[in-house]
Amino acid sequence: LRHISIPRLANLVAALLASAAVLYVSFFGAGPLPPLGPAFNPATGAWTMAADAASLGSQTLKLAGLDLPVRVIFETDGTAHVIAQTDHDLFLSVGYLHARFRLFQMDLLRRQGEGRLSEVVGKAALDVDRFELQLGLLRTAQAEWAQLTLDDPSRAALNAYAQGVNDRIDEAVRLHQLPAMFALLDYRPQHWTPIDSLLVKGDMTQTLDFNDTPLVMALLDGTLGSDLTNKWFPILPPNAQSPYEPGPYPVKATPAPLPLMNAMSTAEANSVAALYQRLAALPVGLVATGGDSNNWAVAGAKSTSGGALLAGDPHLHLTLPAIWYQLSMDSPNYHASGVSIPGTPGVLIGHNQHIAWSLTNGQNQATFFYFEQQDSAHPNQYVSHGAWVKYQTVNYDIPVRGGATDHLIVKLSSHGPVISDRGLTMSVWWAGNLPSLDLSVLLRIGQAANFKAFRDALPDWHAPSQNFVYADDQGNIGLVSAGYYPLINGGEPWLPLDGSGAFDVSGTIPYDAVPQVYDPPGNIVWTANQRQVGPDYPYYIGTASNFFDPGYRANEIYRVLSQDQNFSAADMMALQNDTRDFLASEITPVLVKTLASATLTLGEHQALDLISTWDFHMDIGSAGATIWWTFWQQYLSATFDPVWKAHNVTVARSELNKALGQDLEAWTLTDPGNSAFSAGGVKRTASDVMVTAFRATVKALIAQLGPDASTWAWGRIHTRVLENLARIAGLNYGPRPDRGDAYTPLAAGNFPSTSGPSWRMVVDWGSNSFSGIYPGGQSENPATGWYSNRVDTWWDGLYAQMLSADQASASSGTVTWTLKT
Amino acid sequence: MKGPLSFVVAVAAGVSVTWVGLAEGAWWLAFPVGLVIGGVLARAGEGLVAAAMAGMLGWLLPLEMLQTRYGLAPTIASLAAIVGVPPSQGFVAIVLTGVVGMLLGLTGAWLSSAVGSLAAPVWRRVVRDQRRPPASSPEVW
Repeated sequence: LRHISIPRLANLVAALLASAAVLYVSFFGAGPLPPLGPAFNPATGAWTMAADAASLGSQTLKLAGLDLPVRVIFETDGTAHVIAQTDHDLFLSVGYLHARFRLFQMDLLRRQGEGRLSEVVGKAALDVDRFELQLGLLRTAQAEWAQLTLDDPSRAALNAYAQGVNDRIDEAVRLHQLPAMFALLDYRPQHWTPIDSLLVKGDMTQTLDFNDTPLVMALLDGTLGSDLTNKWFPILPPNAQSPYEPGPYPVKATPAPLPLMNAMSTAEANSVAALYQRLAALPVGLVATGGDSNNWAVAGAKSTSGGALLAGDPHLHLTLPAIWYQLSMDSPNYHASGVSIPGTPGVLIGHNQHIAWSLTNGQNQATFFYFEQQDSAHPNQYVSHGAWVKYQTVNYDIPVRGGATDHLIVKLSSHGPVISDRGLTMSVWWAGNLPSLDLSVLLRIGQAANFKAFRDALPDWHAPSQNFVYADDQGNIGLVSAGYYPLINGGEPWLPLDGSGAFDVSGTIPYDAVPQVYDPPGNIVWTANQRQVGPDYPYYIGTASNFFDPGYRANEIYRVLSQDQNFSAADMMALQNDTRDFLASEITPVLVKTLASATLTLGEHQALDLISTWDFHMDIGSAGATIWWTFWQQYLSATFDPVWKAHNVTVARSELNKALGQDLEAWTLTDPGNSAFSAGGVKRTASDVMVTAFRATVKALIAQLGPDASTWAWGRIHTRVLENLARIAGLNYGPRPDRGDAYTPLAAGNFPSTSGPSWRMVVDWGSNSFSGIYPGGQSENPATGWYSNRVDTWWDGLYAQMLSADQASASSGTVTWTLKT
Repeated sequence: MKGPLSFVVAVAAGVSVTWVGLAEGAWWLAFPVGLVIGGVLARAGEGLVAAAMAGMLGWLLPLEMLQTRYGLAPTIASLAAIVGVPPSQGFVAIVLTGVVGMLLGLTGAWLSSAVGSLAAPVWRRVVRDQRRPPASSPEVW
């Protein structure tokens, strides 16, 4: 040791430290940096997206498992047409295509459902994983798979689809073509299984159907009080709506009266608050927050072409890549064209040779919370119908990247999984936890040629409940709101329920009694997430608050379609892009009339002039739109905020604007002296509050946008953004000024708006023309021309022709892949 | 081989091995390549420069090949977005790629040269000491 030079030893120590640092960051990343070695490896890392983008030309590909060669034609915009000689080959090829263009998206979706996000992104996702495993999408998917009999066509389809996905995974690994995100996150996708497809279906069910409204209602009950909660958040909507099935209805044998709400105990209220906070902390999409979709149909008797018209635009979180992949599928027994969800075989919304269909969310109450009775003398047990029953338990290990594996024990009562142990124990009954053979239904819909076959396919669709609109090549139209409609014997299902057995879900509304119509006299059918039925419907299906939409989009659609004229496909497209705010058309005239007798400042006069001549359209350049929307927010605030403050209500008032807005609309139009206007302690009428709100509106807009009201264009405050699925802001589209609001058929709620028409489709059976567009592109690879190539067309309200495979093969610029073993 | 020739050979061999490693997913090979170069080339500075060049070129030349075959502009823009810089600064992705290769080679060479510079004098002294007869050892008759 006496021979060792200190400077040289220090040099060695420095070299060791530097090497360790470089190797660590290269292997494991640091902070926001991914593992730099695998991520930036030019041969196998993120750079390979260049080779992937260049590999889209006509070619022959080898796929294991095919019976016979399959032809895939790509249009210039990426729309795929799969022509297979067997059904097995069709679904296998669709699996390959989905994985070829959306493998990372598919892997994210299945990981979300199976609670394995932490394995690739670390402990930041652990709460989400724990919640998902508690809720039980994985258990449901496993049960659904077990229920499929060996001869069920959907079982064969799922198996073939999984084979196709795995063909692509193996190919991508072999050719170093895995999507860039796998390199950046440094992991390889596992092989796909049929259960993974069912998990993806479960994700959609959750985002549409798992609802926290009973918790919100309980918090309101506890703070606002039962009296006001009953008045302001009623079961039936307080405003005038447009149910598509107005009755008369089949008589219910023993209609049970719905009792008033009771006060909750402090312990119950605390438990509700804890669970509410937990759900509120989950990422967007895991709890349903109200639907915003449209669909309608016009019978041949009311169309200019003589054939039935159908329009559908499901409103979802708008992401890049989009939730949809557009294709046509042709095999001996299956012909469908439309959009599919990557991860699942089959067309979800589209048409075949004889019928077309589209979906909106049914919105009925599908989530029920229960307080489980426990005590220390009976560990791991709960009371059910007077007896102590042991919880079933399921154990899960959650791998966590960069951390120790998390162990989770999920307890299951007869209602469903225990979802909260903070304070009292709460479990949740959710329709999405019951097996629903949705894929079987979709396959049968794809093969249906008339309404009978269409309707006969839908009884097996249980969750999420959906309004299936229908139009066929014989001029017929229809609507079926398929799904489970849980029934409870008494109790207050809009609140958390006593779990001892008396208020258990006892059944569902029989299929023949769920809302549905076929060829109604008015020759139109329509839904926009509104309550489907009128006040005489004999079953409880949910409250007006948060379950169903306020009905403004439905009212506007009905207003247009009920006009005494015949419609064309172009009219359907115009209606899908309609920015007329129905609520504004009702309230603005009242506001203008009220302000006519008020003393106004110069700025207020200018604003009044603008809104007096406004056409109620929420267009980008409209100052009237800005004044209206700001006024409505101020009006809500001026009416309800004093009450919220006085009662220390723990749910943000803004979260309830759609429910409270229905009250405010009804009071303004028919009950301007309602005591709610004076709930803050000062005697006021609707007119008083409107004037106050209008003054506040002008003041706020001058502060935000300047003194000249003519420059207050809607697009200055209202933008839309399409968010990258991996949350990489640089790969977003927008924010960009956009039209519409939460209440217009062209839905664009929030600032910026991140959800809206995820797919617009218009079918005209008279001219056999099919049009569709979604905001995004067919590929998740941002380096390809198919990442966001459809966005501008969609943004401009334009459509692309949905070609058949034959039409596509005859068009110019197409690319053909031949798939064979 | 001595002088410039050994330098060129070391860099060329290092680039080749690094490139092959990248193609097989063994991106870390630039580090052992640096270790070897740092140990083989006698002068420390020369070894460091050669290893850094081998690492950097080993990572950038495959990029050049991708550019020639496919064009990299959309990929550079995408990676810029992922890294969090505007598309106009997409060169950051290229720089980052080259820097990763360079650092792997450089630290490898530095480590082997540091070990060598510490061990060599010690080793020489130990060998010299072993050759010299111990002064106080008793003679054996």
